[in-house]
Amino acid sequence: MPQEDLQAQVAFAEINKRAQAQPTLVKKVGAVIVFDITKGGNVQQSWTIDGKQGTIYEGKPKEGATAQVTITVDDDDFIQLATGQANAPALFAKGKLKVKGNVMLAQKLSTLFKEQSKL
Amino acid sequence: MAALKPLLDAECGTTNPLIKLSQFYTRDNTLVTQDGLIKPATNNFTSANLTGGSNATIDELVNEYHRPIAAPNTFHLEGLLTGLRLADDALDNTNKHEYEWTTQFLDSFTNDFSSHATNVPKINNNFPSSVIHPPPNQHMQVPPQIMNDFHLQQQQQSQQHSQWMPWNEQTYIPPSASFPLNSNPIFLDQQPSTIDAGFDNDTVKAAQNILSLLQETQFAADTEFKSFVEHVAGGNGEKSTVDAKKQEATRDAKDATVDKWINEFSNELSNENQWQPDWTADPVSLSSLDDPIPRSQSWLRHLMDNGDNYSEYKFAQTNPFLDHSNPFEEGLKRLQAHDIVNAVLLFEAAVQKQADHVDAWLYLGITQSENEQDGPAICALKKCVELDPKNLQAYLTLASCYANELLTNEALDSLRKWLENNDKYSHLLSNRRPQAAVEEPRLLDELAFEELQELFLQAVSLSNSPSDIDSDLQVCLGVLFHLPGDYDKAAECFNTAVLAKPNDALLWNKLGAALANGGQSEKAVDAYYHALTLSPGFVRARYNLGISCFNLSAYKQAVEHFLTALKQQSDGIGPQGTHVQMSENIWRTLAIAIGHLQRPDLEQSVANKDLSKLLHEFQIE
Repeated sequence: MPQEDLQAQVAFAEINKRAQAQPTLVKKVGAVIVFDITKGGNVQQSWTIDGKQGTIYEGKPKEGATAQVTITVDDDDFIQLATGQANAPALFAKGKLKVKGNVMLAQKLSTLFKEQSKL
Repeated sequence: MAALKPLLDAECGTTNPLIKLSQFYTRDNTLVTQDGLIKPATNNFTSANLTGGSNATIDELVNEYHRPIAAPNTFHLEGLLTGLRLADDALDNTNKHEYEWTTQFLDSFTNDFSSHATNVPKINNNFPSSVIHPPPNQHMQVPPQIMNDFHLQQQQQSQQHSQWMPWNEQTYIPPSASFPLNSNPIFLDQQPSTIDAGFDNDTVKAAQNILSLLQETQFAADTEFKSFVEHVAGGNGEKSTVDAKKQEATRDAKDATVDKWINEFSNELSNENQWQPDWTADPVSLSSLDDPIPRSQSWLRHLMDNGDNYSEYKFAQTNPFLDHSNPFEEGLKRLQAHDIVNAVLLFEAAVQKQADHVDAWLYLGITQSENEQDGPAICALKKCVELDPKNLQAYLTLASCYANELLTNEALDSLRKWLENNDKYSHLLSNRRPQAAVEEPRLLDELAFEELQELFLQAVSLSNSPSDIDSDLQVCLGVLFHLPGDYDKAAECFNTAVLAKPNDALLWNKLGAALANGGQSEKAVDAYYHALTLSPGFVRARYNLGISCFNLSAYKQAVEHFLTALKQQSDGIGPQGTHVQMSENIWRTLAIAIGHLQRPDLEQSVANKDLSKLLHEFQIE
């Protein structure tokens, strides 16, 4: 599947870098979340954020892991999300982001995409 | 301040700014005003939500149904139908959109009748019964008081409509299944007498109209909405089969209700999608985020696991104040002088001297949190509540710390404890139906969240006069909203709190954080400056300021702020020159910021935590 075009590729590389700098970060997400990145209406590639193992990788969840949340989003919108320019509920309201599963878990992703300010 | 203007202007007919606040607590999904007119799509969103594209109209309309608005006085069907038609025209005719809309339309009825609390709404007309016009949108114009009209809203159930909620519902429920939480089953089955008795002819006719409209359009045939409308149209007719199943469940005691609900729901779903059985078989683990263990135990395990992380406070290895004669008093003085880091050491000394010193543990926790060390803060605060289970301030601070650590269940738990132990509001809990009590597991994040939201909103409405703001209560609400990511509402609450206590640096910081997490970095910076002016040694506020600079792409400034914060931490020296441990968070974010500066030469210094070199490099003294 042609994925050189996907900006999500770059975005996930960044996210991975951030995750490596903070090993507990992905585990804090806690759940297994799958991103189905679409382009032109079709799913081009998936990425799995395995919050239980603390890993992020391309493709669907490996055996032993089942997705608790699946998010389907277009490549461009994903970039907005990943750079913190848009947040998930806003994208969802516009219909640009589809979620299957427990949404409250998905909210925790925001920590992967941008630094959280502390109350 | 702009916020006070509405109070000072003597205009009749303008909307009370408190109404804006109330909007977040109630919602009306129709476009109808009191006169039955369609409201123009008012710009009631914050920048975080607002769409700016060419589909603005459509999106606005979609958003209308997410927007919390108060309901009209009487049920104006014409307006409602027009709204339906508009929605139908405007929305894409995809099932998903229709489904969302119907979900929320349904919810507006459901929530008005939902029987969460035992104070059953006095339904005079079966439909939302008071009108409040939404004010012109002045973002961040904060009501300094809780509005009196909110009492009207007491008639209806308080709503939980953050954007999060509809998002949540739509996702995992196929159209033909039931809604788990605030959906029809309770509504239709729990209050049979009130509802059925109330359907007068007008209503029935209205429903029949809607039904025919539905049949004309392409609304999803099997939605709950349709069956509800059919039910109403039939006057008093048979419930649909979907409801019948729920009927059993809801007739039981509430505790059993929830369990059965979830059972049925999981059974239904396990037939649907393949990956769901995992999830539905163990829904608790979703919120417990833990290994698959028996559902009834998993919440417990989760709390216990986290308990292990925070069970023992790790003291500084060398503490120059250990022999101090009165470390607690001295600690308080240092705190007054904005010397956070030394205050920490002093409080540590105090508790090491006297392990049951409640206030010392409390202040240790609060100060560590200000010092950007939530881990130790949580440990200390837990010790505090062990010794003093009614310590409200501890619970409040704990809730914020847990929120920062993304431990939502624990945060909700702390908020609940705050309420339970608060003499002003604890009666609200006893008024409620005997829900899954403290001993029993809270099975889902969402349930606990909704319940707490309702309780807190009730508490807010208890205030006697507009000027009587309980800023702690506002903080609780703010933290509550922050959990599912409803940052704008959270910011509103913190802003209210700050109005009541404008000299509290901690409140300004919370406000800033909520703004920043909601994407409003500039306003956040402003709030942080307030905090830092009041308390220059406020490490966390400085760290947050750095983050906001980072988000605004001001990387050099961000780095400077982080370095200053680290310097403050490392300056916590006693006479012997020992220092307090610096915060990992700050180092980590510093690393990322330096990465953006394109200075590979500095990255090594960061990796080595060579603070003096970095300080020198950026000329920070």
